Amino acid sequence: MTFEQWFHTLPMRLRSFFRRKKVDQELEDELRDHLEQQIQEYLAAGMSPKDARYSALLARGGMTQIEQRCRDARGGNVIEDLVQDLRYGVRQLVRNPGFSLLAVLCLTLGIGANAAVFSWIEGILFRPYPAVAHQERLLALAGTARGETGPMPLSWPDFRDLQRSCTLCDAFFVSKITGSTLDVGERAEVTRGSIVSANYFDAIGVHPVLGRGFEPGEDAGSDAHPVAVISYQLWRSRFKSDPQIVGKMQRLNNVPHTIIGVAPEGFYGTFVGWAMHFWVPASMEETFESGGYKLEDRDARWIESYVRLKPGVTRAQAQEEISAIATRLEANYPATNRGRGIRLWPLWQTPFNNAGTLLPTLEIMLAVGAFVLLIACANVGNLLLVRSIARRHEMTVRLAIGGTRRRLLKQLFTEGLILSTLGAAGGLLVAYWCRHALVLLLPARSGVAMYLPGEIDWRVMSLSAGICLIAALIVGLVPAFQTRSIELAGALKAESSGVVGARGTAWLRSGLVVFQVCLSFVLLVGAALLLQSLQKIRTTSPGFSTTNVVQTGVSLISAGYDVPQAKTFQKELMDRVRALPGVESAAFARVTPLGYGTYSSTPIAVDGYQPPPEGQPTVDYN
Amino acid sequence: MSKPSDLVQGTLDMLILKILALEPLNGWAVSRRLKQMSSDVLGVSDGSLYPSLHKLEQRGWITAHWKLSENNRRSKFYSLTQLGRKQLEKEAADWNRLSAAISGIVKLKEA
Repeated sequence: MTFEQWFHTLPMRLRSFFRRKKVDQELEDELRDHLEQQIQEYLAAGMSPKDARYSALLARGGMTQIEQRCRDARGGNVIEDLVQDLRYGVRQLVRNPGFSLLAVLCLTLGIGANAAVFSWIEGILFRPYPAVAHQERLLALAGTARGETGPMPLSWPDFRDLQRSCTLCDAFFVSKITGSTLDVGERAEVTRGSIVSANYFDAIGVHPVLGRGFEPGEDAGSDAHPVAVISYQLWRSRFKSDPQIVGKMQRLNNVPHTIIGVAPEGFYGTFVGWAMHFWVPASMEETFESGGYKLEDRDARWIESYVRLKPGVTRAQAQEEISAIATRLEANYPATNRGRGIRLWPLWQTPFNNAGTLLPTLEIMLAVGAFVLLIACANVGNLLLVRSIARRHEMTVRLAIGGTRRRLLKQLFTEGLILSTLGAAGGLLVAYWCRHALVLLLPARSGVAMYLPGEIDWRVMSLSAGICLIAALIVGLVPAFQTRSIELAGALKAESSGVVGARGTAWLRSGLVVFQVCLSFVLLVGAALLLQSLQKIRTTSPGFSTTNVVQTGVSLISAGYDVPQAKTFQKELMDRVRALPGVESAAFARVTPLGYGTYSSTPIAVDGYQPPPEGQPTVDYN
Repeated sequence: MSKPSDLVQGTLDMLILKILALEPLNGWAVSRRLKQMSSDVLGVSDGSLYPSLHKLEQRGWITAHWKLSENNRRSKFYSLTQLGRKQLEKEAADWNRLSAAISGIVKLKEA
């Protein structure tokens, strides 16, 4: 039907449904009018009134059938049938509460697993920064180098040049993860924060609820602007919601910073994996990064940055422009930029945060979720099939008294839909409860728990609704195969004597069981392999004993200790830990074996190798 | 489902549209008119006529109004809509094409 037709049809259908009495009355009037005119004609032809009436009734045929066919033609029946089916379906489910509960729980598990994975994919990969304006146009920016496969950070001067020359992008901003020991009151703890460009808060459209964001120019100079914006959460928990917080001093990495603002609630920065709790301008880079002052050094590559495209610009177009700028930079600064390019990444492949590393995990989860859903559907389909054998008599009777198969299919689908809608509602609840559950699978690193929230928005909802529909189709149509094989005459006789089951159904049932066993087997093998890998990781000998060893980290220099103080603290800490009951031995190390961190050595000399004048070789060790 | 046995399947809708294109009529008059205009060759049972009328109304091709008829009875009159006129043109063109093709074949002289 065209749109124009729907324009006519929809109001009429609604009228047929909601003003059914009136519509029925009109139909009756219309048919009676017809009858009267027929009678008049017969009278005019010379029949007696009684004969005329009799003949007219005969000529018209069954009133009820005509009325029913007119109603069918009007299509108001679609809604009427649906309401009837829903009512009947709910009654059926209430009558078998055990069966219904089991089926709904199965589907809740199936749909819930998928909805949870969707919400993680949405919240971590596709829309990781809900507070940020127009994040759908946000892309990650990273460098490339000839001969290197992985992405590289960018240098500040390159970033500035890019920002100045690019015309297809709305905003360029830097957000480089860093950390500091935050010493407030009696407790010091490691806190994550970002080094950002001065336009950061304006670029992402986030406005501090107290104080201000950074001003232009605050990201220039060497340690020139010791100012910081703190997160709402930090303000609430560590500063006790102090309304006078703006203007107070806070030591970050041993440098006193003035707190100039508090970010709004629900804003956790722009890094997938951890919640950011403070932001400092790029001018403070020396305080938080090793390697000295780098804002004017084109060879010092350290920043992580994002761009936002102008509306309507594609990634390919922007990439083309940015590549052209990179080529120009290469020509202008051959000493530092030879063989170097700049590449745009979609947020879900961001190379410098956990989005890229979680991608394969979430892909596997998606596949597992699909398997679980299929198993759940097969399970519920089987339950419904068994029940439909018990309901065979009902189906046969309905067919025998004139119900069409289409109508029966509708009924079965509606019943499936009721089950899967309940399952989907439960599933979304499960997904909501599990939205922060992903961090449970990942260990805290450097003493800071990860922050990986799921996001349940309309996209996740509509995907879940789609899955719910598919489940309803599968679940509803399995028993529908059963009605296909009903032969009325035979069935009516057989049903009355209580014989149930037919060869066709048995075949379908065993097919379903085989399907279910296959899927379960695949999942089981996958799970077993995963467990075995974990077991191997756990039992692999690193060459030293790892049983009963616990470790933690402290960052003394960033908390304001000087070297002699730190030495004293170390010694005292070790003595006091060793004195604890239950502690056999304790040790202090710069880098833990097999940890994530590396540490650069002092310059080394290699026999027979003359190092270039500006650089001494060093080694990274772990 | 009983179909109008004396009507080529699917042509009833077109005939109703054509009849209503001439003037608005009630159901009774449509059936009379069909009979007259086809010189008693075509007839339609009430069981087919009314569902058809309602279907056409549903599709937006005809609309219905309650009016007083000549003999002062309240009667449901159907009239053609703009959409219906377009539909009629389309169906009539299709019909002409089809009937020309068929009669062309039927009239072929046997060798």
